[in-house]
Amino acid sequence: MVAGAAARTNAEVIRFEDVRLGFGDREVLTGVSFALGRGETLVLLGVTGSGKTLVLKLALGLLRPTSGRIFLFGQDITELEEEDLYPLRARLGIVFQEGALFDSLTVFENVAFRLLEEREHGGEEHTDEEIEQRVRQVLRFVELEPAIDKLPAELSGGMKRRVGIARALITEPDAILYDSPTGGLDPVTSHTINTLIIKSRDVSHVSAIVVTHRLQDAFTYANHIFDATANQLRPARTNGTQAARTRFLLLRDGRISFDGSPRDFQAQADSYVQRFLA
Amino acid sequence: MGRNGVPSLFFRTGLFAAEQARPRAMQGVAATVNDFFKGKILAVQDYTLLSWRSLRNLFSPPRYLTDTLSQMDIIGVGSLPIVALAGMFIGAVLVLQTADQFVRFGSPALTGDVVAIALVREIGPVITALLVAGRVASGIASELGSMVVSEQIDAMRALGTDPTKKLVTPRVVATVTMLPLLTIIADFLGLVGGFIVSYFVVGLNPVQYWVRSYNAIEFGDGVQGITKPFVFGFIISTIGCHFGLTVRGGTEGVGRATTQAVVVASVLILVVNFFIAKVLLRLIEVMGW
Repeated sequence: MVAGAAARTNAEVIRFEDVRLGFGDREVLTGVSFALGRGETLVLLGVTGSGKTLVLKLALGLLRPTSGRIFLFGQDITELEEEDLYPLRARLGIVFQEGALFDSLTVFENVAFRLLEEREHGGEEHTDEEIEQRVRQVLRFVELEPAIDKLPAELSGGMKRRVGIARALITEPDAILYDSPTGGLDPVTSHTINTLIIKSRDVSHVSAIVVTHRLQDAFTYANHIFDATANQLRPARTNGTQAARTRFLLLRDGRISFDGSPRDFQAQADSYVQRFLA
Repeated sequence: MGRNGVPSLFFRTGLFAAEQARPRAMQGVAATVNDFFKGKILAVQDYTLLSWRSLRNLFSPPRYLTDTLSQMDIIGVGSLPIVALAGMFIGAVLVLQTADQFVRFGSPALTGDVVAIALVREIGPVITALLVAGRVASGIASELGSMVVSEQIDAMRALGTDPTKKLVTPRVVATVTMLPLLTIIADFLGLVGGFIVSYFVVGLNPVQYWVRSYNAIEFGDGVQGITKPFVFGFIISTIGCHFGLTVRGGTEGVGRATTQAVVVASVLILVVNFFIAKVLLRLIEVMGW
């Protein structure tokens, strides 16, 4: 336990220690342990229904584990009161699987939500001009500025995800959690979303957990970097910095069965991993 | 563990120690009954906690004034047409039914007294609350329920905003402040409806109707008529929020929650109305109002 406590450094954004989660008779997570370091990208792989989304919800304190401990920015959140979680959640961004945009608010109001809330809380006083400028800037980042006044119902699936990414990026969080960001999207839109994820990693240096069951996406994150001059992805050097900062986690039977580099993942002889790679 | 994912407290504590020896079917029935009652107790606990938080939020920022005013418009102004129409016709039918009896006993002047007291004390607050329950409790439950199933509530929590502060408290404040105003309007329009029938249909003296109505209402009647809507407003809004925020099972669950919210709010209003009446009548008697 002492060694574990020593390992929880300030450089860590999220740490799970033997986290278990069950619903009634069924235990979905049976001892999940991993850590997300600053500037690092974790790709959480696993088949549908393996509990990947639950890991993200646990990390945000939206669900409570049955046992085990979860640390956010070095602070134990396992038994933290909901009110005390809000300041910590404010340092994280999340992109939900279906976008989870507020359907009665426009794209502008959705993206500006956190800034408007900060104003309600009496924290940072953002003027209307500042908020609009910031929203436009982040919408330009996801290439959706023309849709600023639209309602979510008027957007396509891919556009909703991009608004979700803009909403997560608006306050420049320390880390972003992506829940199946390309799930159910066509290859072209998926590529756009993946480019945005890599762009935010390489341009804004945001830590991230990307949940996906698509292996091709996982290797895109590991093997590409964003070229700001050309405004597109290009292959990373074999031993490039960005590639080294991406780790793969495989969630299997409720626990992390693999935690390592993409290269080690490919070299795994385990039949389950081989089937995943096939 | 019990069925349907509800941990069986009784089995764990050994209250049903002979569980293993029972026939399988009996175990199933016991577990179902156990889970049913435990589910109900947990729902009451959740509702109580939500109600408490909705009140506690009033004393800590942020207070979401804009959201509260917007809800006042939706709940108060939005309910005005149905409440006005219903109040007027209830007053009208009251006169229609009672005036005939009073004429038969030779005291038609008492019609104004009866209509005024019945409207202000009971019919106005209860009917207004039931109408608003049908419109507002269902609206709140379906709106919040849809937000739950589309993960908007989770998104709100993840973005650092407390849904009980942003969504529940503004709706509670709006309903609690709007229902008394709606009740006063319903009471007044009920008297107007009564006047129209008493004058144009029954042929009573209009001045006598209004004077008798005005004089019949005492301070204690007003206390009853105004206290009740505050309590009913709290019931309508918190029940709507509770069923909305505890939706399970997708869009079908939203439909179920909407129906449950209206049914539970309506029944609670009628039950609580009896106890408020009992307490207030005693209070009025003691205070000499």
